[in-house]
Amino acid sequence: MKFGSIYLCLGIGLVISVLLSIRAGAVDVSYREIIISLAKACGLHPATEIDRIQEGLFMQIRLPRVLLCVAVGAGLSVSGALMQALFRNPIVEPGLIGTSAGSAFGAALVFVAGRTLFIELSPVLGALILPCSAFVFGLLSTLIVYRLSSAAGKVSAATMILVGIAVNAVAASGTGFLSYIARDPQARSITFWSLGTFSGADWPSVYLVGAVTLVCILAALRFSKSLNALLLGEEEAGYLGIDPDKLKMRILLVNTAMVAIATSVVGVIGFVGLIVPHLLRLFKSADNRFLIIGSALLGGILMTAADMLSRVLLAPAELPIGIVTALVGAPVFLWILGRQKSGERKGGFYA
Amino acid sequence: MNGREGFMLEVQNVSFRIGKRLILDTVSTSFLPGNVSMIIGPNGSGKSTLLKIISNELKRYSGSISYGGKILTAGQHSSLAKRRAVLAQHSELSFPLTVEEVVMMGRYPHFKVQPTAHDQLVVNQVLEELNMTRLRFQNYLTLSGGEKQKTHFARALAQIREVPVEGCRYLLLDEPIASLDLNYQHEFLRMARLLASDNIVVVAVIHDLNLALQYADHIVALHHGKVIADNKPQQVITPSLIDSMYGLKSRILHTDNLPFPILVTNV
Repeated sequence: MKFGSIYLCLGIGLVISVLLSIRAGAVDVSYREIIISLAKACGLHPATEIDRIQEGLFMQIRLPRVLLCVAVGAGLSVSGALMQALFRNPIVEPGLIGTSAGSAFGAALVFVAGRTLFIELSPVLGALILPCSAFVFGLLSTLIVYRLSSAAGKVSAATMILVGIAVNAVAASGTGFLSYIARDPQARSITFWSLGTFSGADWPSVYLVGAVTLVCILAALRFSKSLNALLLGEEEAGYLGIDPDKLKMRILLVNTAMVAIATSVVGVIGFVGLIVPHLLRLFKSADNRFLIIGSALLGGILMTAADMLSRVLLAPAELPIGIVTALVGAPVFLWILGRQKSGERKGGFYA
Repeated sequence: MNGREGFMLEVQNVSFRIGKRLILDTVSTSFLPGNVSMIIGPNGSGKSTLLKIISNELKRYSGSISYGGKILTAGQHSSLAKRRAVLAQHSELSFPLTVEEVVMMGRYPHFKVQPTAHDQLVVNQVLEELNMTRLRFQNYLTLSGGEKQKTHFARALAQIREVPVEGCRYLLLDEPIASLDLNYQHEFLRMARLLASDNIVVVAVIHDLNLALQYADHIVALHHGKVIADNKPQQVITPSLIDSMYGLKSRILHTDNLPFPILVTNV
């Protein structure tokens, strides 16, 4: 396995960033407290006792939050890798092509308009309808962008960006309108939907996002061969025995499921899906199997690190995580564009 | 010749329209294994369209295509891919894959998720045969135009490496040498000849009639979507055909020590 050592390094990096992130915050948790809490959660009875409040902080707040970061980071990054392969363009990410904004609108719609209707009917139905609505609107936005920017199997990058801007604007104004008319004091603010936060993390959301993301990543791995073939163009992928239309639809479904579930829980977080696959391409490979596994690991690392920063920079106050990811992500995006430009002169690194 | 006809690639009464325009008009011909067949004709005569219909890329045509007696249907994507490879004029690949990874794509129809040791062996052999082993780990995007096209040729070879239990193999080339230098053009056509001698049906769309005279066993000339000649090269390429297809005066020169004639046009 030629990528084995990279996976190993990323895996170790993920463990380190998770450990660091669990400790840091408005209140620090010591390793001793972590180990004892985990032992207790596993049903053991350690000899030493620890502070109940510290244990609760760790088990009910810090741990689910960090695990949610890993799941969301992995999901958004794998989504970036999938969309870049599908659009055959390395500057695509879920935030650019409407998936995130559409999902946020779908979630906000249920949150604001549907809250009174469904949650009183049944809490289970209410909990299910939120991610479903996010999925439907996320898929709708992505389909609009894809259909309008592709003609005869080729995607025009310029049209895609313009359509993306328009679809994002519509979805964002819809979300803005909804959060403006929301009377419910619990309704999340516009900041939540546009910049995201992990402060609402709890165990049910970890299970939900974790399970969906894991299933979607495993499904995406099964498509990695076909996605590689798609890099040659739809026609040539067809000559290699792949049905491009079927493949595209499956990828869009898997991708939207991942983004929608994450967005409905933590809001829109930009740039992660863009940068992570690119950082992996620095290893000079565009093999989608490598990009998917690598994105899942590196996305987890970066999201955990970004969330940690958002907690400690202004502690005890908390920054929306989107501020951190955009602050770091946008310059990296510019750097990529610069590389792309110089690459064109050299004969098209990204072309 | 025994059994060759049984494996042939047959085009029967194929017509194709885009809107009201008739691109192909009841085209019928057949291509035999062991032959290098070439399709010639002016721009817009329907050559590439015909090749796309043969390769199962375009579907809404009338008439039929049959591979070794079996009529092609739309759902044969994956079974056909194991014995039919297509090399396009140029590929739009713009991601940094290594040469080896691109060639391995030719093995995609043969394995499910991960390549087997046999797939790796085939890729190694093909790279060796085309003298490309030194480029193996090089980034595809840093290659020259000729090397890029050769990489795709290697991919096509890897795709149809094994002789199938039933039937034979088919290699379709759509203007494969249009953007290559002289050296590469001859290298590609020599390889095409070599492959044909290995009992593969080789069909190439080509513009250079002198290369067709030199390398083809069989030529189909298309004009306005119709077959206007279908025979051995020296029977097809004549001053009268050149005049009717391109409106150019020409002469065919025979020289003593060349086994094929030379076409000089616009004289």
